[in-house]
Amino acid sequence: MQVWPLRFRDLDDRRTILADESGAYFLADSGFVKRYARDVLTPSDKKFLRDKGHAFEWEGDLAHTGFLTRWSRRQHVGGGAAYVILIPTLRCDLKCSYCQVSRAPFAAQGFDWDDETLQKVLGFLGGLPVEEIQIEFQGGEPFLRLDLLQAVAAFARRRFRRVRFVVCSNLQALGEDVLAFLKSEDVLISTSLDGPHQVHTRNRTGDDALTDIFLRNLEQVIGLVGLERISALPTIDMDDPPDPEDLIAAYEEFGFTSLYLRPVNYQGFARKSHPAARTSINWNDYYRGFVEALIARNARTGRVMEEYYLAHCLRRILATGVDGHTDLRNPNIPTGANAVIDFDGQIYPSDEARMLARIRQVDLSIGNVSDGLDQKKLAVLAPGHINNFDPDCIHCPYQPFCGTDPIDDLSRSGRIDVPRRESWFCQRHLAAFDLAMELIYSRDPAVEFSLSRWLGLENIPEQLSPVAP
Amino acid sequence: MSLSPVLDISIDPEFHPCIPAALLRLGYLFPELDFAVSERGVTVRGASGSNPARLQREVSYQVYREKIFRQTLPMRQSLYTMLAG
Repeated sequence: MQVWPLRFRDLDDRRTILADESGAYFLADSGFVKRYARDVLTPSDKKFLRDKGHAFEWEGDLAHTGFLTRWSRRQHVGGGAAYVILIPTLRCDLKCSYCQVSRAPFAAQGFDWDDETLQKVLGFLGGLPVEEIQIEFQGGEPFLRLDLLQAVAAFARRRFRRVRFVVCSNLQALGEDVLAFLKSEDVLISTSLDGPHQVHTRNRTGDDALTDIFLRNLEQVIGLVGLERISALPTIDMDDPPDPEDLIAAYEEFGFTSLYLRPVNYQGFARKSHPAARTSINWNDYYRGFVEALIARNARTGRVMEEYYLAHCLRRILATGVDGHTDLRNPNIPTGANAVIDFDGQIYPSDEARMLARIRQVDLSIGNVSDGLDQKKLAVLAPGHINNFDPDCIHCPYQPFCGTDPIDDLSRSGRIDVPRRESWFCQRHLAAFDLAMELIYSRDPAVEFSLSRWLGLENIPEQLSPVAP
Repeated sequence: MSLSPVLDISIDPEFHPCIPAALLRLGYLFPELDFAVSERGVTVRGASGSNPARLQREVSYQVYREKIFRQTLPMRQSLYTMLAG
């Protein structure tokens, strides 16, 4: 019998998580790790490993083929659908202190696509070798140039078999024409709600009256399109984070059942106004405390709110092919089908990459809409977007569920070869996956209540929490 | 300033060939400590503020990881050859 390589990590002093490269995991004590490392596994150890698909007898047998299939499904190979972020304007009518894109003032000139750029963007989209696409409009505030959104939408609906639009808007100004655009079933809205009124005012609008307008508009849009087509997320200022209960209550007030907790991104204006965001050392503690408060509240009220990112991490642990979130997949090779087109027609591999160019730290553009993609640059960037061979990740049980973010490493450390454990991405995800594993193996009824509902299950089957003998 | 030896960790002889590679990794994971090969296994200097049991476990784990990595490298190579061409 041959055992596929197992990676391990202590969950606490008594329990160790082990996983193979296909993402199959189990819990054991340190005695198992010793026996495994010393090649002195017991018959019951071997039976367990065989039964759970961690071992095979010979290449090509059913267990071997099953592992290969699971491993393959863990790799994000792309293709099929494109996901493109468009920045038709960098102008915005708000001045959020943590603005990560260094937005341009409302009345500024030269920060919108002109007609020529629009036509080239449409040409670029038209040339993508896919029939399905999700187009996300970001900014600035995209609705300041509704005409450009309408032009892209009309083109994309003709060009692609399946298309979906997401407009990332601050929802500060809703004219009749904007409401008409939102009515289309293929349009989704993503907005920011930073919590209670005073927190939202402090972080985003700087004005109570503007916050009142936003809250009224949010209610109006929910009434128009329904909760299924709108999502909201709070950006957490770790210098003064909101109380978890207050934050959850602010979301429940609008009927939301999901929120996506994000720290201030160490990009753009945030570098000056929120320098502590570079290390975000308190984030993991806050995040864990928030999830604990959320789980307790769900159990107490019988209502169910999820924290989107943790639920996503759980789904990535428990299933293959959960690659819908661009920030967490592996490999995550930059291509034109997964790109950001800026207000000036430059193409970037990610939103963070365009932000680094904006502050002139490093030009990571991978082409532009006039000349097309720069294949040499794409090839240079590719290896940094795979975690399979990283000298730290190859020893980590969470590698199959995790990803990599060299752009964030560049942003915070100025280089991409920092030891993983020193990188914010790794620290954040080790904490998130540790927490996810603790929840999976918890027998607390309150945890089971939330977990089962986040996963769409009636209860948590024992098979999801295997334990070695 | 020399750091006094505070921890001498015994490692089974079968793992000794893996110790140098494991120390390389330990050196950057714990830059405040000084790791060296000893007759019995590994000596850690400068560990006065560390939890000895925890440190011993970390050192053992790194040695185990290195051995498992070496031992299973052909399997991984075969996997990538079969599936990635």
